[in-house]
Amino acid sequence: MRVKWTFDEDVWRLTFLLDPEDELTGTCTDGQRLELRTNTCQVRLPPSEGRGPDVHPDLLAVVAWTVTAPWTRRRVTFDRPISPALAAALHDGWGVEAGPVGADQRSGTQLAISYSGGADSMAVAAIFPDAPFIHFRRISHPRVPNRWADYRSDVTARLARETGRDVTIVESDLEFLLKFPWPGFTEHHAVAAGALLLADEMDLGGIAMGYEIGSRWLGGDRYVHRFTPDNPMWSASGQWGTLFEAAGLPIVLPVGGISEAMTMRIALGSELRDQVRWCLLGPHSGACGVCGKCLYKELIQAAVERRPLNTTITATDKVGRKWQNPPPYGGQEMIEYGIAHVPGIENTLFAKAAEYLQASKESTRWLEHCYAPAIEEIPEQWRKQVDAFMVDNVGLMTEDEARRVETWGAG
Amino acid sequence: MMRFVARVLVPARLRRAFRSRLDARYITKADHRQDVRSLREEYRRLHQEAKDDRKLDAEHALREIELLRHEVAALRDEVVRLRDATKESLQKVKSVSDGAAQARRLATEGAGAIDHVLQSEVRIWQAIDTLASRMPDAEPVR
Repeated sequence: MRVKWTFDEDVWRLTFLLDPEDELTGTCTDGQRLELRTNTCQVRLPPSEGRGPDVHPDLLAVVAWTVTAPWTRRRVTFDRPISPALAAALHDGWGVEAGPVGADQRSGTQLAISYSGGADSMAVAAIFPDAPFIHFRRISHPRVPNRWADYRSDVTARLARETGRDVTIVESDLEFLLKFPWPGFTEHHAVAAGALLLADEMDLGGIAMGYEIGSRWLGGDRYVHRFTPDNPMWSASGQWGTLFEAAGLPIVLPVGGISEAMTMRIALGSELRDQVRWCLLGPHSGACGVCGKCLYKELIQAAVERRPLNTTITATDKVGRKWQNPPPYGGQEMIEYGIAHVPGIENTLFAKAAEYLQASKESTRWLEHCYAPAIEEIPEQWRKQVDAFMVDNVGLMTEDEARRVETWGAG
Repeated sequence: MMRFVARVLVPARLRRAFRSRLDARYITKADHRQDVRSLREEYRRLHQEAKDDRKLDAEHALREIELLRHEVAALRDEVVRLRDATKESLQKVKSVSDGAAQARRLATEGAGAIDHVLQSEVRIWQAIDTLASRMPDAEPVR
């Protein structure tokens, strides 16, 4: 893989060329099969006087790697020399030869939040009330007809601005590089493209993300659905954690030790609660209420608020049907929590799932506390703040509760 | 005969008195005839009136029926017109939805075709670069 960046008036354009052994198909770190569509993309930074192309090559290399990793088989050649540490991280993590080598290692001091506007990143924002937000906004790709216009990236960007926090909105079409399964991040880490490209300018030494216990420790989402202390995407010592750290921008997961029920509780108790939005389809006035994500989040919110489920979705609707099948489910720990805490769940579309899972308040109590090893993993300069927040607002897991994390998905 | 007898036998004064009493109690023949006549007239008048009323009613009804007949005819025309219009707009809806389906199909196929072209472009550059690397003396292609 050969990578070439150009910079013109606050816009970074990336072109990559496949080596003979590279392919148009590949696998995301979480195991999802992927197919490449095209080999150019852009990242548009907000206009700024006097910004030049002088960004540390490791930062450019990491952004490029988030969109080229699945297709690269043996080596990656960047258009400017990278640091030996970054080359080592690429070699150790992916078995690829990376070069040329010849730059100093970079570092920074500040923490920024990769802010999506959902409950998880809002909880992160509550833990770090002074950290600036960097918001990734999808824009259309000039070479790809956008047939996914129902995705309202304008709404989440507007809500992010309405928080009144220091918000930088970075626009990119890099999701359209992906042909299969649908436009999206080739690797989850591509969401940090803006933070990486602004890291020197903003003196960033860490990027905080809203990945919670399910993603970090329980192998959630599309991954293996079992305890993953060495999670390749989100553990500090995993391949991506090591790579970001080598670029002087370690990934910080302030809510990595708590469940989505707790991030939801923190977000709903936050002063930004009016701007929280997890739905990508609804208009500015509100979530759509009928997509799968809205249903999932409604279950969690109803559980947190200890009230009946409020939805028009039924068991025969497309998004309701999957809950009629037996587990495993993605985000299953949250389904268990919802079933245990939502009154009258047996009269909802989750009745079947409730029967399968047999969850109780007692059996899901561990999801109301913080898994301590997640705090240990946070870089030292920000650990204390997270630790204090968790002790004050959530409470740490007991040994028995921690065992629930560590035996998740076993058997 | 009785009249004559009475005239003869009863003194005039008595007769007057008797007659005036009798007159007070019974209507005179002339009056009676008059009554009968006026009753008959009244009957004839009412009969005529009723006849006239019925005639008027009938005329009204006829007019009403005529009006309704016109209205029904107009409505029938309207139904025919609307039926034709519905047919026409159904035709229009069908052709619009056919057009939309066609546009959708073309958009999907077009996007698929572009994807194919874009992927081919990546593959072609990959092939060109592979060939170029085998010809160390060649000018770089870009």
